[in-house]
Amino acid sequence: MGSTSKGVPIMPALVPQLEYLRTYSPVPIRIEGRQLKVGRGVSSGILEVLKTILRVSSVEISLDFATQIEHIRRGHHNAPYADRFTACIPCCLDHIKWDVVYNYQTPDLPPDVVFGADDQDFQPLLFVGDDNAAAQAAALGAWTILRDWTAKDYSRLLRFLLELRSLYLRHQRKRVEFVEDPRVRFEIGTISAMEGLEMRIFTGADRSEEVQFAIPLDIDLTQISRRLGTSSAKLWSGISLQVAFSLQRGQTFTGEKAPQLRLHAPPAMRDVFDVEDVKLPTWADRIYCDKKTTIAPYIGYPRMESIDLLLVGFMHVIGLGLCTDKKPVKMLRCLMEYVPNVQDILKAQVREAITSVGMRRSFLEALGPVFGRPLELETNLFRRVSIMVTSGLFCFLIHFSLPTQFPKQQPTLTFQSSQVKVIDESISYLWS
Amino acid sequence: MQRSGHDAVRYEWKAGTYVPENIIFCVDVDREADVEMKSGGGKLQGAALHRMDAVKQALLLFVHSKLTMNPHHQFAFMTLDRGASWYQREYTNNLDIINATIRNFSSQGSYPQFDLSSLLQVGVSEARVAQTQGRSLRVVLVYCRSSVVPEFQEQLMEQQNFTLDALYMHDKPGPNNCPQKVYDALVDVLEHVSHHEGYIFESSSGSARTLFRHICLLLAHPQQRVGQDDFANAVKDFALLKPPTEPRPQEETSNSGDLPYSVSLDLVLTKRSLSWTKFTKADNWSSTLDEAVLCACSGFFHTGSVESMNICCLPVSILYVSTGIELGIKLRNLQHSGDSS
Repeated sequence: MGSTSKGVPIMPALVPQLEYLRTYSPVPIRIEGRQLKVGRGVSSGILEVLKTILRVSSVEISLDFATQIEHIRRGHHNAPYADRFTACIPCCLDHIKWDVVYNYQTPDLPPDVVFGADDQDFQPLLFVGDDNAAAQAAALGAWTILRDWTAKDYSRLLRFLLELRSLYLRHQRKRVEFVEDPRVRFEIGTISAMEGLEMRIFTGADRSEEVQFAIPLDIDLTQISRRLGTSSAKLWSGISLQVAFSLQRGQTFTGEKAPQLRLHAPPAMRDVFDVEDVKLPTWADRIYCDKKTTIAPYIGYPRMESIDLLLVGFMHVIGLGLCTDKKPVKMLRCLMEYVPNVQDILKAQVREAITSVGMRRSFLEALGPVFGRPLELETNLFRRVSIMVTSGLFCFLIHFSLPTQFPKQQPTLTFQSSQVKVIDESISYLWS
Repeated sequence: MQRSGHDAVRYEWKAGTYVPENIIFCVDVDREADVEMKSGGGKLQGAALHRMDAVKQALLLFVHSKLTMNPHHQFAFMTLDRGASWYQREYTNNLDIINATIRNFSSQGSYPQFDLSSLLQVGVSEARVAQTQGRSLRVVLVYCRSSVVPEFQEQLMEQQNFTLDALYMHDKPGPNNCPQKVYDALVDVLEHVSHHEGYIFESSSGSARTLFRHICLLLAHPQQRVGQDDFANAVKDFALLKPPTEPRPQEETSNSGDLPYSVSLDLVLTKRSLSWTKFTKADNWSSTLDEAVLCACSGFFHTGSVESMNICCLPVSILYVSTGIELGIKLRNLQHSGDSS
């Protein structure tokens, strides 16, 4: 790094701050832009260091980390240096974009940060007076960083963005807490203390609004990390459940409508366990009580869990018809009892995925006596092996590919001839 | 190594040691790359095949195969004239770029000298970079000169941090050339320099089929190699294996003392031919993996000549039994699935 993709030199004081951010950020902050191009005057030494840190390549670009450098730009076409960029900050399993603007004429001063158009009311430094201790600390932290700013401390940019992110999450939580929808308020009331929980109000392109929750699930990924041969940093976010309640205009109650549910996991996990293959339990209403119960006995009903008591109370408040004439009643689902259900399912499937690695290994090792020594066997996750065999003068390859859900899903065999002419992926035959 | 019931070697592998490769192909662009090759089996239509044409096809075969094994392998290219020069410097697994690069190779002139030192130095520096990326480096030399013995600096003749392979195509020995000296020099370099077992294949026959066989052997991942002769001899020839003519009785197929595991493989061929009768019996459910797959392979390639084999053998993925019959496979030493349907 030293220049942008168009060969414009980057403000010198900014370069080490960006390098520090990309190397040490505990959350995946991405600098938006295209792939690095070498500009004039960029030393090969700097380039190699950056490539080493960021693993820039045409293939191994991870979406988890800011491995794409660029779109660092200048304020106007006559400016000698590029001194501003767009930072993509993770929030609620998505990214929000902030413009970070330095001034090349005063490189020792801290940057301005421009928030998105939908965040006009986000005033981070006013959280100094917030009643939440963590928010207060973050606001004070941000103030202090700005007050004591020095370009020689390369860590300040990263710390500043992390404090702002913390304040932004607090800001979004307060917005969600002010939503009048009783269903949303009930859910917040039951899960707000969950560690790592993030929430926000998201406005779609069609101006529709929804309340989104990002719930980190308690799944131990140590075994998967070990199989991937990677540090836990690559799986930093673990598996999360994203829940979205749409807020209809003119209506203040999402009521019985099921939320949208989706699992998120680091892409690095896919070779071992893909959350896209997980079937989430349906958000279906439960039939709970029998004919003989009425409202009053619910309170002292011996088999009723505390969460169901809350649900009963909630349903009573919103008038969703509790049993008054000895008929069974439908109980609403809620996150507090749905999330543990999802966790149990995922834990079992993660265990199966780990077991599958061993079974795949046994299967591939068993091929040796039949097909001979393989050309290449992937020994990290035992997903693939390729073998060369002949039939008289004819020589061909067999590629075995095992899915992550082996042995529930069967292997795939690909036969490849050595005599087939390949040009531009179209096939023709040398001797046909 | 364990001995299986087939009295053959069962290979065991150390988990977590596999890394993707950066592979640099170094292609000789001397005029001797324009020497005509033999036509090989069957009818060859169109223009004569030159060494460079065959090398291009071999490289494409290699790249396509290697990327099927692992899409994260990457390739770069150099040319060999008096020394080694970069042709495609950036490693890539983009097939469009690779296809275009390979297509553009052509001979450039006659070069009475070849200094291998520059290539070895490139290998050393590229290997360092590859290691920082968690990858391994391999250099594959494709050399065509029958009279030019590669030169190199003695101080480079020590084991380096990359693997060196070589393909040597040459004329038959005669009074005006010295292919044996060239070959000996290449062997010498490989043995001294290559980190893992380096493979070298030579051919004077001018057969493209031989070249393609050699390039397939070069697909072997350096980390998992054994001695070259051992590996080449370990390639199985299905033509020598007899497919079973009758299904075995149930009790004979059970692995006494072992825990069988039932996995069903659907094998379908995308094209015609084949005598499927040997696969239609439901009793084949009790066949072992080797018999079932050998049935498919041997039936597959017993249709007749090379030409029809080529037509049948398409490089597309997933082959399923056209009759829809499932072949139940029992494998040894795996846990029982409890489901044999």
